[in-house]
Amino acid sequence: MMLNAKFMGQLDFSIDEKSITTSLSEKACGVLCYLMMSSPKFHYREHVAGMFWEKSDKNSASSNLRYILWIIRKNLDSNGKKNQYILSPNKSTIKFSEEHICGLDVFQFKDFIKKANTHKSSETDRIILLKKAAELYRGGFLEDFYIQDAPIFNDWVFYEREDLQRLYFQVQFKLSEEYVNLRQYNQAILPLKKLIKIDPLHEELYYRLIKLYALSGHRIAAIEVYQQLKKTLREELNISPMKETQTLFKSISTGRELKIPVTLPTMMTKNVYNQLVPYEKAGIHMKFLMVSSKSKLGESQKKLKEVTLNHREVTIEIGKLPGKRILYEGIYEIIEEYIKLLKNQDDSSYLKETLLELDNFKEINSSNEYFLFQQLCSMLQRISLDRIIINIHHLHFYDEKIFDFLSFLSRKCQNTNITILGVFDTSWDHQRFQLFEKAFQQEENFEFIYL
Amino acid sequence: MNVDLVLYNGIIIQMNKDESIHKSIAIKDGLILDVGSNEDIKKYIGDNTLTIDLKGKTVVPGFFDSHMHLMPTSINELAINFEKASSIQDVLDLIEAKRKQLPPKSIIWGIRLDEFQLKERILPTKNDLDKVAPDQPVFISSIEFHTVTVNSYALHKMNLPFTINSIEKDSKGFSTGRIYHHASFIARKKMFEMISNEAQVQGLKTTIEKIIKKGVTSLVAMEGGSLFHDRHADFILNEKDKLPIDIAIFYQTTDVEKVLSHQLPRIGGDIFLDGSFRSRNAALFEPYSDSPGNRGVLYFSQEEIDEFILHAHRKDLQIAIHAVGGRAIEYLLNAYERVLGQHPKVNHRHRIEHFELPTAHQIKRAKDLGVILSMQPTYEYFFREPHGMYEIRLGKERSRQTNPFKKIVDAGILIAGGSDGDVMPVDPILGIHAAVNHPNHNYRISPYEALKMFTVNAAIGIFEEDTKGTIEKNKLADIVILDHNPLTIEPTCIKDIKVMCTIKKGQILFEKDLGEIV
Repeated sequence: MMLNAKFMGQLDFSIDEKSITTSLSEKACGVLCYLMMSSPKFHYREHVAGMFWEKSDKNSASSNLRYILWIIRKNLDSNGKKNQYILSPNKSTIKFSEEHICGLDVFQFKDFIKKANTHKSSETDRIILLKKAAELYRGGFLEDFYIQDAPIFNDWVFYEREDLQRLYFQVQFKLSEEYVNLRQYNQAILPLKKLIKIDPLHEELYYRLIKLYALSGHRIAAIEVYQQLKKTLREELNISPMKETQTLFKSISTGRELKIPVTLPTMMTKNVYNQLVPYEKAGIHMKFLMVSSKSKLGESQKKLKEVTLNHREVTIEIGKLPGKRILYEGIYEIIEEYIKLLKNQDDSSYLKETLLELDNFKEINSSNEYFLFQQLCSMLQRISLDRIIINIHHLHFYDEKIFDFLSFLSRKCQNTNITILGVFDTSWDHQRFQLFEKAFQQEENFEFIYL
Repeated sequence: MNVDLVLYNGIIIQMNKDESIHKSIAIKDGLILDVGSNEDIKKYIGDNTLTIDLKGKTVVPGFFDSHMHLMPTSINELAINFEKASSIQDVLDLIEAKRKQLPPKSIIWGIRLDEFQLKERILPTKNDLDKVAPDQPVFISSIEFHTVTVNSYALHKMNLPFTINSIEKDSKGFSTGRIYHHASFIARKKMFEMISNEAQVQGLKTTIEKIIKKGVTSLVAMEGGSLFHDRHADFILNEKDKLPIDIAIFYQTTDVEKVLSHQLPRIGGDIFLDGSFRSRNAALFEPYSDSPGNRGVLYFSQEEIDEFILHAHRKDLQIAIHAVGGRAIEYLLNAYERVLGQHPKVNHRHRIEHFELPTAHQIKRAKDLGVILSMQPTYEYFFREPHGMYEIRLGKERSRQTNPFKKIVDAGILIAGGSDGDVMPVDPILGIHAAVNHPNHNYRISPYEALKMFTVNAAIGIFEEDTKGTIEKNKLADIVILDHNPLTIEPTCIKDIKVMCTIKKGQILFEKDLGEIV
């Protein structure tokens, strides 16, 4: 029996290609969806019950959950095999079996993306993988699915919906770029048109489309896309297209020859750079620009510098100079820059207090490392600003301790608005970073962007 | 000849060129048949003639409102008004009360929520709103229009693209329900789409009834556009002929072809060339007093506004554009000047909406170009107290220079009066009062000039002076009866004048305390 689950678009569960969705209640669908999406994590029954029966008392919620799980198992288990999908390792926990997760479209989607992102894939492989990923995205996560008395679940759905939509955007952007690399401009157009249907106000999509039409010799189509953009922005937002788009349009309408870069001129990269600091996201967020060439390295570092310029009062910047760091050097660079920040803020009493505290760590070893990290976390939390940004330019030169600290920070400062931006040259073999990437690749607040 | 209606024994202010005043009117088949003395009119009275002894009351032409957002006003009739809310609990209580009045699952929307009036000093979140309305969409517009707060149900229903990046998150990364900037535009549009036609009709009916009571018989509706929804313009186009008063529509779009397809003679309206003083985005020459470095925003480049105006002008459309601050007014005058220079047209009657802070030179240019100014005096009534909004934004000196009615009238420019409803109340009497009692004495105009703004000038403002705007033979019998004469009453008491009767095409639409109608 093969369980397939489609969560992108309208929700559907099927066993051996026969839909069983209507046999499950709304909450049963929700519970099953939640467990599948979080496989292979264990969940406390109490937590899942609270998610779906928030207003009920514990016993009622627990009883409801038991019933729902029974319904689910009744529909899924067969051939005399019980509990093959929903596992209960003990009385208080449940999980969805990772053995059966491969039938989930979201899992397949992310898997295709991950494979396409590994720099070992060839261009053709990447295109195939990205296309497969794109085809799986039939619509928003659990489209139109909403459980009226389960706000925590609904919040989670909304969160996942955003995550997957953004991933889908990345997929289509990358697919378009891959076709451009192969000079297949007509093929590069379709992914962008699909994205415009989702976000018709996304100007960068139009920019790319205009350029692609022009490069493929369809000048009239390029002009029409620009006119459409202009009209849409005016009607919906009462604004004009960006200067770059207007300049592009002028070039095309006057018949000026457009330069053909190997990759599309940085609209995707520009998009990445535009959103380097995720203002709308509270809490800690880490973004790593994984660059594979010297030019991309330079470009990314330049963008980090712009972030510093624009946020001077709240940015700690380290690693501007190349060269392999010694153990703990990165930690001390952060401390030094932090002290400079305090001096600039003219907070002398706090500065004095901080310097005294740091005196305790003149000699670091494995026994006081925890306390040093903890101290550094407290220091970052104590700065009374909206957000702190830590820019690390040559991340690949840093010792393992910086990654130990970033990992520590992600656990201890979850609710502090900290943005870590790092540039990592993928031509460097850095085992500690590879472990770090593997551990956090799927985490919501971590992004590893391959440029 | 017997007529349908005779009003006699009154003060009939005709608002014609001669500034005539008579005693009585005879109305037949919806038109004014005659105006004259009580003796003159007697001959028209027959068995079936309704007669009204005005007993000295004053009659003026039916009022125009030259600038009103009819559908948003109508929709807001059914909204919760959060003006008086002083805490998040107040907000929730109001929503709960509304929810009980509505059928299940109906959309609930609210307006004018100001977080600075709440004791918590923050907007509610979706979790707050979910407590009182978990099963139906809730939308709350903030007072400055750029923020919308929604509940979870609405958030899910709206399907906003996340790449728009203006959806606020909490520390766990979950949406708070607060939506800003560009996303708020989309959210408002989604909200408008969820409001049923039945609700719109209900709101429209209530609004029309209210404005009839204020003596309005003709209305210039600014509908559609980025802040609202094109659905509104289409709705009014379909409904207007069923309404008891006349509605002229400015479709708020720069899409000339769309307007032509609707066979409308005019385009624009409140197309924002700049913003407002309140939001600090009206485009000024000097920065705002309470926002250093900020001179406001121009939403079009000179080239873009020129292009639009040229296109519309060449299609023989009357054009109206919103320009509040001096820099926006400059751009607009430049555009009109350029276009009229290239394609002269006598009697174009292109308009500038608001024209709130012009320079003397700009007033002269407006006169030379023959543009009509559509202005809303009531702003002076509400925003001009000491330490009021105008003073805070513009500073003491500059705030004294807003809405220079006298300078404009003396320059020979026609001002069409309006309300900007429902930003301001629809109340022509209040508008007249505000123009006559302008806080800057140098800008005060006479009651007669103020009355012209809401009658004959407003009719000229949309090419309807042949049929309306004055009380003259063969014009539509659009008439308002007032309990006092605005020309003779103590100027500070103009706002207390009551509308006793509103007559449209000879039909009594509203009447109160008028006495015996025989």
